[in-house]
Amino acid sequence: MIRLLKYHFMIHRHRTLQLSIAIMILLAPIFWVASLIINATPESILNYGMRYSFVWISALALGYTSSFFPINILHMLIPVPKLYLIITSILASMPFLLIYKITITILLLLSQEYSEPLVLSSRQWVTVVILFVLTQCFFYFLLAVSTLIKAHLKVSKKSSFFMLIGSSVKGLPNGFSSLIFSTSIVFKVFRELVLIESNLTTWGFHSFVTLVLSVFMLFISGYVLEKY
Amino acid sequence: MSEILSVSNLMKNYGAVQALNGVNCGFERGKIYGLLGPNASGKTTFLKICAALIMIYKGQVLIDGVKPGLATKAKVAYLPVDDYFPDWMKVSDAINFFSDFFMDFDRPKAENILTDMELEKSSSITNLSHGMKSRLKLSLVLSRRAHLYLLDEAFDGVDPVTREKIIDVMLNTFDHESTIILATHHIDYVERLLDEVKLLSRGKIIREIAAEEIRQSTGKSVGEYYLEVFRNDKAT
Repeated sequence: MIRLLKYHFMIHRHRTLQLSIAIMILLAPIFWVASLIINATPESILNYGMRYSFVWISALALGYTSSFFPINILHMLIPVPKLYLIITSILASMPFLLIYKITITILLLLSQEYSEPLVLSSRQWVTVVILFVLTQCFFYFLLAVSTLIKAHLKVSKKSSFFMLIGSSVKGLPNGFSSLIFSTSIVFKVFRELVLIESNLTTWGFHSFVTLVLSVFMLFISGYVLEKY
Repeated sequence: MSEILSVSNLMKNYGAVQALNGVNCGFERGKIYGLLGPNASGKTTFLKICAALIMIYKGQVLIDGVKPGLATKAKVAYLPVDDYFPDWMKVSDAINFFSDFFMDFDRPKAENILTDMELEKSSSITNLSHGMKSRLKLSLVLSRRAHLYLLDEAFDGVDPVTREKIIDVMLNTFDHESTIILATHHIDYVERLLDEVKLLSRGKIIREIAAEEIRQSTGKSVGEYYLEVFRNDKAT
């Protein structure tokens, strides 16, 4: 377990970190433009929505890049259960949330000139962490589903229509377009589940439900990837 | 001699394409086998099933009496065609990876082989040429004390001098309790390694014969024999 953690940490250090920073840099100008718009109509609902959306989308994006779980042949060959690989990969990606926190703080400080300072409470940071874990589990789950469809379609001669669906799902975790597509699904579905401004009981309940859902997806993914 | 790998009625489809069509064969301990056949004959699919990379198939595959899976990964050393090391790794990181995750990895042996292959531990993998990457992969796989070695196109991109060096290393380090299966098109290169050949065509084993028997009974090399068989096979 320790060896896996060490190895995954190295992978995240070398690959995910660069990707995450690149995403932050790409998102920074968008955020800056959004701040300008918000500043023009401070009373607008958009103000609130845009700023929080940024936090959410970046958490999802970071979760997405971190979930580039290294399932290549090398990892398929080592005698370690897939569930261990996934769990250690998620755990090893956690320290990089700190980088995310620093980056986002810098961006928010830079934007103060144009909009009200946005300081996230500890509860909101917990939400970000939950969302981060959820996103990773969600992408492993997608990978598992695509593996399952692919394995079954290849052995049982289904119609080309289903083959096409299989290929699309298989490519889902890989391309940029699928990043937008998949992220928007997670974003839309779970935004209402973990409401940042809801009361503590509702927030706790939704967070709990989200974590349970994450664990469920994690185990399903581990099982499917091991079997297929 | 006991069999390390036994395969019966193995079938694998990729959609409408039949990659393996009822393969029946056995592989004994202490031998080096050549799994030979033209493109798309099913060699890589066969090796991937044995390496537990493909889990969905029909028929039976047993390695030391066990179905390919988590347990067999510890005793099977598979060399794929693709480069599988992440770019950020150095040669030393790759050694550490193998040492960490394969209990049968022999580090002193690896260091000797890497020296023979003229690979520097401090070299970054991303800067290695295709041939050097092939040397590295092969060196690490051969440094495991595995029961079964599955080598898919092991000599691709390797220059003739290095190839001879690798073959010498393989012959010198071969443990007679283990088995090597070499899938390759470069038959002439590996001829002196082979004890037995299995010819695969359209997903079926069409010939199983000892290399020495080919030479004695036909007076031909394994490469010549292969050409003759597949010329006739194509004609039919």
